[in-house]
Amino acid sequence: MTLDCIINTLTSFWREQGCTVLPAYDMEVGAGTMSPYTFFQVLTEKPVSLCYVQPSRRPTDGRYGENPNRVFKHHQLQVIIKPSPQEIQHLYLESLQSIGIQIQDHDIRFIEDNWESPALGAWGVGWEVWLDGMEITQFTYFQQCGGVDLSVPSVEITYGLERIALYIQEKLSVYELQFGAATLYGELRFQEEVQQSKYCHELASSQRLIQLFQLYFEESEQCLQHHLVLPAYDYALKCSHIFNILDSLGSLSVTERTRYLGKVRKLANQAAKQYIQCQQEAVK
Amino acid sequence: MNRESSTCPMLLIEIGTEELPSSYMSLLEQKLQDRFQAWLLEESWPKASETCLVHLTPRRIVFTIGTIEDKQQKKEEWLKGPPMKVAFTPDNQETPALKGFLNRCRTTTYEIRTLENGQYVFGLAKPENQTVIDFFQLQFPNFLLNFPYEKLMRWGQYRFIRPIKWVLALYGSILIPMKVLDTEARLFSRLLQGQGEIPVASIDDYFRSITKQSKIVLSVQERCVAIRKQLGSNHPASPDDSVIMENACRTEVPVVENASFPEAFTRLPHEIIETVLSSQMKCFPIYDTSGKLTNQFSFVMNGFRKTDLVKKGFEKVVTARLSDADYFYHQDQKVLFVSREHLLSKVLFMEKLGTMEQKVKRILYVTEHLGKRYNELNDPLLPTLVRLYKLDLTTLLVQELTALQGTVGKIYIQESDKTDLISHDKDKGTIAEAIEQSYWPQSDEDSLPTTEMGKLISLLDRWDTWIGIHCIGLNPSSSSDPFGIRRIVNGLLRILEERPGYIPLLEFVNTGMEAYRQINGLEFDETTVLTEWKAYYIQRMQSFLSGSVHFGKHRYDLIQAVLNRTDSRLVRSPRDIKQQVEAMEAHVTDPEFKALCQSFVRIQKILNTSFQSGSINPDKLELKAEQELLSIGQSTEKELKTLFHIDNSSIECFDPKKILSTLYQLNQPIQQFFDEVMVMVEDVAIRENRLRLLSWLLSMMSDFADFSTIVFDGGNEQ
Repeated sequence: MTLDCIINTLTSFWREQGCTVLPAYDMEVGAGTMSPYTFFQVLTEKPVSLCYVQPSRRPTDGRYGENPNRVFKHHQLQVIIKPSPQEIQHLYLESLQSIGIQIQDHDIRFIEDNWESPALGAWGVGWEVWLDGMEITQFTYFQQCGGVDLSVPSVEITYGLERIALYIQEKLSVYELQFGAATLYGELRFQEEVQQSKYCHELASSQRLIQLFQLYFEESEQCLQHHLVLPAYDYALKCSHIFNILDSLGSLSVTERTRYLGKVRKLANQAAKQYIQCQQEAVK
Repeated sequence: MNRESSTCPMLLIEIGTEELPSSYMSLLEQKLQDRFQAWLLEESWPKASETCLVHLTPRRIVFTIGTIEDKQQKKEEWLKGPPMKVAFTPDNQETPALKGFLNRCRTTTYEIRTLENGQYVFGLAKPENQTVIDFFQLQFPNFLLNFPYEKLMRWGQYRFIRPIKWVLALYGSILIPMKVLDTEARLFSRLLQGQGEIPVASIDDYFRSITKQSKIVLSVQERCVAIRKQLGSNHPASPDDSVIMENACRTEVPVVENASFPEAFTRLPHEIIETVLSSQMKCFPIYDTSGKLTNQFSFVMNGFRKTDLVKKGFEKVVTARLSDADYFYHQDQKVLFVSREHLLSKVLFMEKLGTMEQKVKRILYVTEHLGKRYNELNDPLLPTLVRLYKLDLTTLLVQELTALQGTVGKIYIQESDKTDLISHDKDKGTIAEAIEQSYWPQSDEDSLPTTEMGKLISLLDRWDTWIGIHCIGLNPSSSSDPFGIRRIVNGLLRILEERPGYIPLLEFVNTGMEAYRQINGLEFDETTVLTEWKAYYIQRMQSFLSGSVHFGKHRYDLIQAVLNRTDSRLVRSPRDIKQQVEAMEAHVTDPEFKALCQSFVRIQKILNTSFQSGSINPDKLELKAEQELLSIGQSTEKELKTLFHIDNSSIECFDPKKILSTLYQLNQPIQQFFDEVMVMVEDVAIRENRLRLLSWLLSMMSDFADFSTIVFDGGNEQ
């Protein structure tokens, strides 16, 4: 089964379960969780069911295309449902069946793994799902987001699409994966990996990036002053991405690192609080 | 317990959940077992309490009761009712108040009893003993949900360890119609994850399907046994207990299989392969008969699956991880290990306590400044070791496999060429060993570093962390210890306990604080830090001495007597404190010892009256008994000075037995003093002088112990 077919099958599966299938958020993020579709939707008590594929950039994981398993950019399939359905585990296992994984034959296990994102002020309780020893999914019940305790926890399922494809196609390297019937993953993405790794590890100018961080931060703060939480959050995402590149350059001292992370968290927390306020006022 | 051979339990409750956290499953099983047993007894089910069991798998909490009474066994009891005046009318008729009381007690039997404040009616209350089904239906959900779980999660509108998926509650073949949160008990259970549900008609039926057919092993311990048995002879070196436990807590049907990885990776240092296999993948490395690591390993899967498929999966992941480790190992070689010092500024030690570069600088500061007071720190190799011992934190390998910190340092030092820092091969070996051992002991059960250098670096590292925590006011408590300070300090105290001779603990504290001030620019109140440090030291020592593998188990009052001396001028080392408690234990039956304690308490009582402290005026001591007491006191003080470490670090051997027998010299003159001298006389000058004499004696004894806390058989008649 090709990678595009896996994506298609899984999104169809969740669509049939009532999820709205969205396009990926069109900004650089480190994980599907950071998309505003997840970040803001989990904050309220309103029911929600969404599904989308999110390209996720992790500059520190860039390996110049040399490592078969680790990449600058990978793809996550994100499912977010609130409130969590009683048989969510069962649904998840069915979704694996839909892409041809015979769950009776394999050792599928839910291994304790609680998730935390310091940049988003978010954490949850959950598992990583092991398929014959390989982690293919992160399964989380959100407990807090943007520093806010969630009164109705959402369940989040994040499939690591490359990992699953490696398994299904029995390949050893992501670059050998069949993205589509006529396209290899490597043909499509290898150069991107080489160039992005070179940029993030070597070429990026930390001086200019620090300026950029500051500009985006101020822009975000200004939006927050006017209660425009969505553009404010977009700029917080920009800050987070810049921070990640600075981090992969290895140019941040420990104290600076904590400080930058704290700044992003501050923006995210304020955006979350204001968003909740807006929603409550709208209800009144 | 072996369910197949024993008779079937009479009651079974299975709470099905999403996967329970493996990290505290074993502990939770034990705690639930204890609480369930106690609860049944409190609720008057004595037989049930004796035969109950609690077992956990990742997906179920199973409560069973072997034999249970038909009804609760609460007894009749007399309850106090209304006073006579309220219970009866003046013409001796029962009032509605009395009738109401008797109704509530479900009885007609009552009697009048006379109490201090009048006469009252007492009714012989008949207990309301519930049947098994009523009791469990009504009470069990509360028991289950109100247990003090360490951590709960929220889902929907509920809270529990993990979401509850099903409830099965059987009394023989009768369904107990209970409801836990929103889940009603049904006559169903579930097999392994993904294998669906099955109807269960009776407890017999349950064990037939779940344990016999599906081979699910309900108890954590039995799963450990099953794994150990299957690992068998492939593992001559005993397999890691913690990895066995982890697998037992991640599986319901543990099945052990063997797999392999490419031979080429065996060229990596064996520690790296072992860590990838056991820490990351929870697998078991296999060794050949000569003890050499092979490219084979065992893994545990959950249930009987298509072994070839699962094996291929595990091999793929292990290979990917090893190739990562291999990549990091070779990347690390590109930067000379000993030239990594500047990189430590990028490694965080602890928020508010700065970087590892600062930590290293602080330890160098302490080593340099304390060398004068503590000779052991003067080893010329020590500063080099301090500069090198954290360098492996800057390597990719440790950033990827954190469990290998210390070990990677050892490997890289062994592999490095001679440098300016280390010019002899012998020193290289010493330093490499010490770097690895700087993390020892990792737990209370773990063994101490084996080399002197290893001990010193572990000691200095821990000391720095301990002082730092108090400098930023994060004093650990029994309920909150996020940085694991208890474990760090316990290890430190064990290392100190091994060390004979004088250890200038207060100077250690002061120099440690000074290092934080000089190198981190940290500001804090010295007195507060010292007080907090001391309180924690005393608390740890108390816990150690009241019962531990390393310090033995000692009498509580003797421990208190030694640790109570909070106002003394010095803080004794763990070894001195232990020896002191042991010495007192050996002499507590001496008549002289008891006399000394009695004198101590007597003086303390008199000194409760207020008086001006000051020096003793020998001319004002009129009576022979008080003059003699002064003179013997003076000679005793002189002798004691040569025995205490107070100002004299040259005393190598602290001998508490000798100090005790020296103190005994005071017994007779004190006795005589109290027989012949009246302390509380009218003349203020004479009275104050006598009080000062006693106060001086008391402080002399207090330097050794607070004798007032010691308890004697038959009470403290003094």
